[in-house]
Amino acid sequence: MADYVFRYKLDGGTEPVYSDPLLEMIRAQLESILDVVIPVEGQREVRIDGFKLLRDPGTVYRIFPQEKKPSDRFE
Amino acid sequence: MHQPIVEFTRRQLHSLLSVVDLEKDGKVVQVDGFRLRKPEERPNAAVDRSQGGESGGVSRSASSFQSIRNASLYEPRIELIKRQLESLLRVVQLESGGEAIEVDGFRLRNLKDWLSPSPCDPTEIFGYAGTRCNCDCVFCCNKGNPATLALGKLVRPVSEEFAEMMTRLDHFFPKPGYCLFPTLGDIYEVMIHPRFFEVLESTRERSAKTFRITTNGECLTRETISRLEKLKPVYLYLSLNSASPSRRASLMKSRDPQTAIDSLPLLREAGIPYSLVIVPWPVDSVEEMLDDLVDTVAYADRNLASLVQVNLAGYSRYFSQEKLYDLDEVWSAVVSAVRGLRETTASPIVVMPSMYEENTYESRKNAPRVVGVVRNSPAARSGLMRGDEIVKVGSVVISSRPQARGLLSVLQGSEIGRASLTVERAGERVEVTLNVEDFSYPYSPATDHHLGVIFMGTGLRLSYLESLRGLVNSRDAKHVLFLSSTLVKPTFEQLLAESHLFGDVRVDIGVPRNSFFGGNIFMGDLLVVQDFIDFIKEYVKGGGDRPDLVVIPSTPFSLGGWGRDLTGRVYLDIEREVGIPVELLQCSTIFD
Repeated sequence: MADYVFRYKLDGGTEPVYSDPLLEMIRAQLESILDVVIPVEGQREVRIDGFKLLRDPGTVYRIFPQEKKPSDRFE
Repeated sequence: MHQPIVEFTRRQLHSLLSVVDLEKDGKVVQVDGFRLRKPEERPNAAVDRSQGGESGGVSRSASSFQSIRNASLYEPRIELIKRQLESLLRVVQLESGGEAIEVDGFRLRNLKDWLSPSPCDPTEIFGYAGTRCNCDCVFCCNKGNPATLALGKLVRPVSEEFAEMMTRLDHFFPKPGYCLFPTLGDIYEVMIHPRFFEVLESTRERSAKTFRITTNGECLTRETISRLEKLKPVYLYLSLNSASPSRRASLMKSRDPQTAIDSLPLLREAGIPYSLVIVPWPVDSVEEMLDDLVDTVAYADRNLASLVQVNLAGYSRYFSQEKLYDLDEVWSAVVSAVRGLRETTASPIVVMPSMYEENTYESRKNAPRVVGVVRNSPAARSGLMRGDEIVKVGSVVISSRPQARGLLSVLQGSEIGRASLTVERAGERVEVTLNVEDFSYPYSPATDHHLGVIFMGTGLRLSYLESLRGLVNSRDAKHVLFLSSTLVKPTFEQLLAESHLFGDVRVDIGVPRNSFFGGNIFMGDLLVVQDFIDFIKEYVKGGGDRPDLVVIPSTPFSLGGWGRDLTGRVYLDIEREVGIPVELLQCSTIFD
């Protein structure tokens, strides 16, 4: 018998936080990664809530949208 | 920004496509390139969902879509892949042979990549048979699950369910302890699945472990029991609820109540031990419920039930918006009845959650007191009795229930053969000797724990306080808010008061409300991220000093091991929203 296939639907994801799609892509990627890993520096856990672009180190962008509700992510 | 982004995207796609295949309309599509989308080509976030939900919209050749919500609970790296792909697809157009292609899903490429450490309990295979039910219990907790719960169920053909179970079995490796990540949702009745025994027989070829089967008993005919007998060791959690055919029919909408009722002597004949499960529900009146409880326990006792498990029922706001009964009135009446029944019943009786009884009746919590012994177990044959408090196992002085349980488990699995126990009985010290080899039905070392000693639940390990101290030290905290539950708080407070570990630290204990589930639910393990956030915000707003650390027991987040609550939301969101460091205290559920 062939293996059962574990399939998942792509549905466009959640509403973007930033209108710039390339910026939003970085934010969304970081957000999704930080829901799965805890970054560390040496042995010390580091909590991250924003990022800067290397070409524009003066501007900080937030990673997490405010007031996330449990059902927001899938509805 | 474009060149670095193109390279970033290329690397991302390359890594993603090494673990998943992309698909469109149920067929795998080959991707060999991409280009950045022009602004007018960018899709909206809310893409066309008209092609069906998570379990719909597939071609005939493909299996149904699995639930992403469920994956977020058990294997969030799948959700990570989904979110990464979706964020990429907003900015790039995938191509194959220079032509633009669209995708609407993905599939796991090599299932061996997705093995995870596991105790490899056989339920991890046959549990997937429990997708339907032949009863409709008035108290069924599955009816109280909101749609946003990660434990929803997929509606799929039987053949697909069977294919998944057999694929899981192919990836089931008990010796090294690996199997495929779970996707279990609500579990209904496993025994009505048309291919249940086929799965069970194949599983037995891979595992000698006890099959622990929860069943409503509707299928427990002589023939079925005979098939189970061939697959021993088997232990049943038989949800009989009532030994009265009319009451069982009324409580469970059972079409054939007699089959389950008649199964008890047949199970005994077949040498299959079982725990008889009763959910007292005040149908008609509390008095009728209690009368029936007495009769049902007596019936279980006559038929040598290994254990009688009385589950105190609650209901969420999704189950009923109206108050159905007074919880304290019903629960305390049931517990009081059970305590009376223990006087006259040889089969041990436990009430779940046991901490309700402990909080009501025991001035000293966490004590290693015996509430019953399994018939014909080494404990029963040693003369150990209900009410005994274990003070020593061999020469080891016992100070808590988890310690006693742990040592008895070790003894049961050891080669020692005999062990002496010192107990306190009616104010006197008594020594008994347990012979590990001295037992008969319904006890079996394959299906029982603690040599047949039954306690009032698991208790709280003293080591949790040491772990808590470790968390406090790691954060250099001086003021800790520990979030507990109504049931656990009294025991935790007692342990804290007896401990010398926190003299320099202020530890406040808070009990969040189960607002997500609502109704009369007040279980810590059913709290979700939003309940914790709401409580902490209220606590800080209410004028209390702002704590510098919040500690939460890990059990509301431990189902899949990835720190998700029952909605699939990660506990890290609590810290992100309240701005106070949050740590999980690793611990086990208080349910056995």
